[in-house]
Amino acid sequence: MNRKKIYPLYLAVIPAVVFTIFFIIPSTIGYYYAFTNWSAARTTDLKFVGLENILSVIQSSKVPVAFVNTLIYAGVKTVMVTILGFVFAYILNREIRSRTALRTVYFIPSVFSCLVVGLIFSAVFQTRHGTLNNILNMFGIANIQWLGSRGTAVFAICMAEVWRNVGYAIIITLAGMQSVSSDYIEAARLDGATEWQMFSRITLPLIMPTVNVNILFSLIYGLKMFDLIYVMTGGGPGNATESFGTLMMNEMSAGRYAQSVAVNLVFTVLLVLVSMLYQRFSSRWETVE
Amino acid sequence: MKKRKNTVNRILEIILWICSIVTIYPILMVLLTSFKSKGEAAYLNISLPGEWHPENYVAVLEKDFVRSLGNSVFITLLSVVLITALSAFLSFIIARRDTKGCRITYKIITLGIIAPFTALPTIQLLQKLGMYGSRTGLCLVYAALYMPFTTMMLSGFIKGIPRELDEAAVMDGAVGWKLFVTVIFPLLKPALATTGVLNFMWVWNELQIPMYLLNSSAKWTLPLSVYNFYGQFSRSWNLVCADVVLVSLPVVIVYIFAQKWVIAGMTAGAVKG
Repeated sequence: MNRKKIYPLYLAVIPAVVFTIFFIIPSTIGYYYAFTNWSAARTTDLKFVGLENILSVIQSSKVPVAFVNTLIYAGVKTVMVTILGFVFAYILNREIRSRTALRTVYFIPSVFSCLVVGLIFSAVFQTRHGTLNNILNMFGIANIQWLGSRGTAVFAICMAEVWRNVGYAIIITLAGMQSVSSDYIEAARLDGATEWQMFSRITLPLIMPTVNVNILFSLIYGLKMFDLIYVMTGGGPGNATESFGTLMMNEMSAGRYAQSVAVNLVFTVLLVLVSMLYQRFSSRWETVE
Repeated sequence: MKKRKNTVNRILEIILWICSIVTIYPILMVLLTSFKSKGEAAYLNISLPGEWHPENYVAVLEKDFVRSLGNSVFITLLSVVLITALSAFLSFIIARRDTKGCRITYKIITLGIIAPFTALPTIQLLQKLGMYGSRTGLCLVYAALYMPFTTMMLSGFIKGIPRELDEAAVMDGAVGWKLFVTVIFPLLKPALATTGVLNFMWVWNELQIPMYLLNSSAKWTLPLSVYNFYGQFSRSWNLVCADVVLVSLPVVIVYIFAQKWVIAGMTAGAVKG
């Protein structure tokens, strides 16, 4: 019997329709609206304005700030989470008695929602009696206004995001390391390989595909960060900690609809570029070994 | 030599426990603060409450918590069922039919993981369909948004199921829907459990999308009501912390019972890509 009869299309119709109606159509309409003069005040009779919105959001200070912040959030998170995940997973992969307990403790924050983590870290980074300032006071350091200026606020948000995500990275990297056959390690040991050689020549190349996918997802979700920033600073002070996600929300709340979807369009281009670039580079790393 | 290695492992273990303070400390602070009086709670430290105030939890529960909990349960369950069922059928056809059209569809679907959620046009569309502000409308949007990841994982699993099993069932006359129910579904159960748990945690925790799509407070989910509660009572850290504990409890419980599947799913997803 032929394949088309055994696997009839009708089973895929409903899912495809739902995906088209609730994702593809709104996204496409949104990209189109980015080229019109849509706003809260003007919802009908739209005029095509070409690149006006996109140019205006790029030239205003908002998009450049959001662009830099978004890259910092995603970059710092991905680098720190990957490195910490690697180090902790490597240690946990040794003969450590309380491995399960440690793994669970490190994973707990990953279960919390961004909202909850945002609230917890609003308390931690609060200026007066904040948890971190309490500790710093004990060492004689005066209160720092963590969420009051761009540098420290971006740092605080990054720390909260890293805190939430290290657990994921540890578990995935650890699982990758455990799937490396001990035969290879034994063979290398018999040949007199050092610990470092075994790590860099066997473990690392074999878990690289796992780590790569992990990094890609970390980048994509990092770039899309919204809840944490929204809860901790709302994009402020001013628009100093804004990411693309909060910028879209704030432009929409201000009634600048076309600008909001224009930001979305710029953001989509950035996301597609980053994931394509990363996949290009990472496939090169994999073929090296 | 062996002895030295053991000592090294001991030291590393102790270092890991010291580092874990960074994880434990804020959680402990929230737990303890949730039992303090308003004045004491303002200090945000990990000292024990001078007087225990379990009534903080009562105060939070009285603030529409139960109604939001009901909304969250309804929305999360319906969404997870929709996401899982739709993705399973789609993955089955994509992975098995394997025509050019299927491969293109798969490419488009995976783009859905990368592309951001477009709030305004989605709101407009839901208004046209008469579903704006409704819980069902929100669930359908979730279905579309989370389908890409689930489809990616499930089609990976289905490709791992030997085709010979299908062929044997086809001999017995099982085609299409029947083939899915008799052959694929039983083998897919562990994968479905994994994606189900992951989707549960994501949908349950989501703040941004319900914020855009639910307009009346009667339909708010828990994260929305917590966010709003924080706006009203940001000076009463004891109440905010009690709220945080209550809203996190369900996910923590699900995680404890479903830990095995969560970890299996995350690693499988990462390995398969």
